[in-house]
Amino acid sequence: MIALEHVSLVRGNRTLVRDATCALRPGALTVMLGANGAGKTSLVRLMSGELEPNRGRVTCSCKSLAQHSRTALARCRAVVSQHTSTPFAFRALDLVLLGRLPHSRFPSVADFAIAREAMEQAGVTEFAERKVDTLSGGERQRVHLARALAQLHEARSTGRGLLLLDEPTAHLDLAHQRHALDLARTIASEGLTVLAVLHDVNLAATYADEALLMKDGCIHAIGPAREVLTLARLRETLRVELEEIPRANGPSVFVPTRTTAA
Amino acid sequence: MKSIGSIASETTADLATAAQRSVPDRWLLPGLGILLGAVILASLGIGAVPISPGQVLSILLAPLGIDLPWTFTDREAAVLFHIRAPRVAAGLLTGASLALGGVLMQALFRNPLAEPALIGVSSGAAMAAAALTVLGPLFLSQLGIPVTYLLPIVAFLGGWAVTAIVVRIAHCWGRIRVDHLLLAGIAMNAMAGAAIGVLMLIANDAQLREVAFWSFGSLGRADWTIIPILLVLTLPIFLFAKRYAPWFNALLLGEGEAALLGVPVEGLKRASILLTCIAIGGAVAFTGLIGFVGLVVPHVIRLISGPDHRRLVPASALLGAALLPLADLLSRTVAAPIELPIGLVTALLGAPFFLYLLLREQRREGT
Repeated sequence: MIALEHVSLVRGNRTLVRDATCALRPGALTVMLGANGAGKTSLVRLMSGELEPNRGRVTCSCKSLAQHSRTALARCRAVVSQHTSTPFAFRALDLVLLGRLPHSRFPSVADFAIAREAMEQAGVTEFAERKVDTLSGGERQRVHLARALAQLHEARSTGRGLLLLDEPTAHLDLAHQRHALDLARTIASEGLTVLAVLHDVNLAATYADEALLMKDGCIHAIGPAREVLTLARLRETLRVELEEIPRANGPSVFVPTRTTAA
Repeated sequence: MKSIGSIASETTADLATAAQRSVPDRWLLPGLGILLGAVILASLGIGAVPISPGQVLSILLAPLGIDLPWTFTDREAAVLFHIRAPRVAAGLLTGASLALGGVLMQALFRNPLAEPALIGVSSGAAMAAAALTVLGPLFLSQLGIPVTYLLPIVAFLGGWAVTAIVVRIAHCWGRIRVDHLLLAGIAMNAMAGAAIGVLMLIANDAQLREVAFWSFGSLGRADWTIIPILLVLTLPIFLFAKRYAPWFNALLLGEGEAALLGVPVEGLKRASILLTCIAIGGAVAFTGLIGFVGLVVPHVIRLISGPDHRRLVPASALLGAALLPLADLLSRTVAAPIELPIGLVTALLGAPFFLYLLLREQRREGT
């Protein structure tokens, strides 16, 4: 559904993304890995249309992003960003309801129901009446995930849509990391294109259908997770010494060794 | 996954309990409406010529052919129609303008300290008005144009000019950078303040008093001719803020997030600045600088019913509309026959009440 063709992003004299070409597979969970500053968030923002490329083009359903109307795009594409804060605290339910904004400017009873359903799926129903600024980082992250689900409600029933998750597991405990990625897989299984930026190699290997490795603003590798997440590639992209521990039933486990590579 | 049907029934129950629990929300708008009505009745009735609320109603309804049992004299009717009513109407419209300007600017800047003066419109108008008051007589006396009629026009244009400069500076790569808008606004406000200071140094005593009085605001010059103008300048910001309230909610998440939810962020920012400039420029041009209302009114409403703009916009407009005639009433009765500048009253009245709400909120969060 979403594809990048020779996309570059330059800000000042820094090239954040260099000549990126890739297409994400609908119905699959693609996991993006890369070191800090490798251009992962920039790539997500290019795919969401938040940033426009300096060269190349980003297409959605074979049409350039700029050709889609803002609202039409917002109805089938949701993003959970790394950092989101509000100066005046909403109730969590009101925040989730904002996900319905592209569909109806003033929420109806049906929109409330959709928001409730999204909160239930993201496991945040108990926070509905709490103010967002009283929630912990992880709880807030999950409320934003619920907002994205509310936004994609229609897209999920048609099976056409895009969910971009920028470090969705960053503040979450292990159980909720698993829950969030299970949810991402569920959404992918409904036919949507799902991209998640992760730092945990093993979580990536466990959940990803496809993997995308970023290094120095370039797409280092993209393809089926089994083929991409190899010891050699991960060492090179993440610039870290890793040890691979094979497992009989599932992908290998990667463990960092004590000394870092030069 | 639960079906929408089963969740819908739960949600209806949710809505019902939510309605029960949030009694302040339900009573907010009617309560503010009652407050506004009471303030209007009091402002029309209280003064050197006292008119009872019953008489006020009699006088107001008499032209419609409705006779009420309260009798009144022609003099009372004249005082009410020609002196007090335009003043109350001007206060109502100015108060609503200031409050709505505050709502829009706090959403635009995503900053609780933002107020309509931040984009330079008020200081620009004040500077232009001071310049005309002090320097005007030098040029205009030869032309025979009285300064009084020119003042609102020049103030309005001054506000526009300074805001245009601020926006131009903050404009880069096809978008308005809100952080630069804030800083440019602060710098331009400081420059305008300095310019007013210089003008006051060279002003004579009468001009000095005029500039000083103007910079604390007054509704004393209000007459019926300015009401339609104020109405035309205020109505757009109200209709706009009300119609696009959900977009302002999204804007609170940040410009990037709002754009991802389909909000045309640049257009929304430009329209907000333009309409604030029109409404506040008009208000300041006719009434001078009235501080605090634009900053405090939105916060008071937020503390009562949360940050949702769908409630915040109409409630702030009502509270602003009630607050300013009330402040005006106090300004002309507390030390009568001397009239205090209304800006002093809004600060003296608003600041302690605001601090009380703030402390109450802290206590509530502590429990």
